[in-house]
Amino acid sequence: MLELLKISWRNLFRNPRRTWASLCTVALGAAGLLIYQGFNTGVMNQYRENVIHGYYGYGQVFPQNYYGKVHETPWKLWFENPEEIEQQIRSSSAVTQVFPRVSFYSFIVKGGITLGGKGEGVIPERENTFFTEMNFIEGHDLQGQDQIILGKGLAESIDAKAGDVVTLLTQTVNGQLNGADLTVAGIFFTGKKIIDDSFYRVDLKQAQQLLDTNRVEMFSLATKGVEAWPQVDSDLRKVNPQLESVPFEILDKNYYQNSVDFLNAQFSFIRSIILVIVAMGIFNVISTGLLERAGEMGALRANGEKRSRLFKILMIENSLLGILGGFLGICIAILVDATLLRQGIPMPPAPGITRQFFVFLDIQAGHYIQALLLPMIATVLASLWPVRKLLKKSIPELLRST
Amino acid sequence: MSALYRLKGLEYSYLWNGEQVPVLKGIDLELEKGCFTCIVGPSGTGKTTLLNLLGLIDTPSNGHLEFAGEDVTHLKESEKENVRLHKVGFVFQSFYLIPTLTVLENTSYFLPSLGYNQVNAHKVAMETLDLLGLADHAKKKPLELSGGQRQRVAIARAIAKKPAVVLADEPTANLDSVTAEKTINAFKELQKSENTSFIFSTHDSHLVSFAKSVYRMKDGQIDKGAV
Repeated sequence: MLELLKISWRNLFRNPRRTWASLCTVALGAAGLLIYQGFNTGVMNQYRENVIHGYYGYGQVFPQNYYGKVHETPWKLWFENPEEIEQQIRSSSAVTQVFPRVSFYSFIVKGGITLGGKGEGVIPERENTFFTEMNFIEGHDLQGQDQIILGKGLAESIDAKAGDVVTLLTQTVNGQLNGADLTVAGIFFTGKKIIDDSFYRVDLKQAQQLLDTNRVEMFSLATKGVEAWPQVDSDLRKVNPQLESVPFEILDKNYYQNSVDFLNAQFSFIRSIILVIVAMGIFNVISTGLLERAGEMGALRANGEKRSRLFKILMIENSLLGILGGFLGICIAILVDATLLRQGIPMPPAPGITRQFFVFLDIQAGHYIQALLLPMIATVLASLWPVRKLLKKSIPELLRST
Repeated sequence: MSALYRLKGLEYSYLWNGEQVPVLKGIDLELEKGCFTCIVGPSGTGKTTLLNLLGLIDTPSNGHLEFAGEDVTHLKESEKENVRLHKVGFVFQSFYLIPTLTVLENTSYFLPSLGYNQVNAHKVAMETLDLLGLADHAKKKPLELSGGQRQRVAIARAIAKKPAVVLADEPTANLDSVTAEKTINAFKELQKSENTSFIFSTHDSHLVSFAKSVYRMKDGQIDKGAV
């Protein structure tokens, strides 16, 4: 095998100009694959950060059978003993912060304008250290129970600015009307249109007073990272089987997971096109190179060289070409990332996001392996037909070919 | 002396435009071991085809071919590969050396397939190169050598595996007269020292003058009157 490898390696350099042409074709394909996949992952990362640090956290914990279902009186299922549940959640070493919340629907009134909106009661001093993608475009985060912060779209709809007073009208859990006058502390812009157009936030205690309850609907969680969620899930099952934990990609399935699936499907298609272009690009070069060696192959076979051994030599040769091209492509991609794309790629708003963002390539270990292997496979496949065709020729035919 | 080759009624034809075109029309021939034989004749009379059949790189259409006491007329390709590897050395007009390997590596190319380890393969290859006066060029690549030297490397590659016969198709055609002379001398030396059989297809009268036996081909047959 070592002997075959040596012969194949040397054969790569018999026509340096042709080898370089093939290498460049494979390398550009590999670099294209790597940069595109890195870009895709970068877009997903950016989107994920928006989703996690804008609203959902890494995941949320609900009462059992609560999430994803419609309930006539949802507050009856809310956690009655939120402090105890919070302690149970904090017992998981993967959890770094816990954010209790309640959500409710209400009318929001300013001047002559009344709009329906979805409100959330949160503990601002906890939330504003983690939910950094709220992006206050005016004012600041909640600093007291008599304050409210509004999504940009909602604020524009009721013509509210920081410092204005708005009235919330809602129903308590007992069905009585309740209301509060609150000062607009700030206007936020998460980039997610659905949130920015209808959401507002008040202090948790204010929300509980408006709803006339001490219960908490759910806990949003900060963890040690996306990959820590399975541990959180497992820990919570052990400590309290009545808790239902839902990761952010399920909470935001409509936007995040569907976007990820869409981008992945798109990448698979583009990847196929890149590989076909690589294969077609080097097919001609490989065919010409083999044709030039027909006489040599004939002479070797006339002296007893086995067809199967020549096949192995040629396949190893083309595999090496593919791997070298892939390696060169990786170097090109790294160089491009470190220079031309160092400042990120400015992107227009993505679906469901209303602000521009910069994408930084995120090239992961698996991507490098793919950039090495796929062009190699494309090169080997491109060489199969000309190699088989050459080796199927009789020895006199090979000798006459030169 | 026992026969190296026995040919009886050997025929070869190929299909062209739906018709069989005869090339060899019933060759009867017997060649002894250790022979130094030339096959001569005008172009298109079937010299190369006869050499191809003797070297088992083509299959006769009819007739009987015996090589080293074995009927090889209808061997399978894998069996032919085996016979060629162990018993036949081929030398061509165009050398066909591997340009990326050194002279030594070209010479020892087939030896690992014959069971030699690398050390022994290089030892045998060096001895062969020494015999042909090329030991000093062992580390060079073929493109660094003259035409005659390259032809001698091709001969070294063919004889390093110690075949029963070396078949050479126009081995001196691309060489100047001085180099051709050296190459012919190399053949003669090997025939004497190794008792290797040599069969040439050639137009070179100088090479023919060294042959122990000469067969002239005419219209796909051995011209018996001219032998």
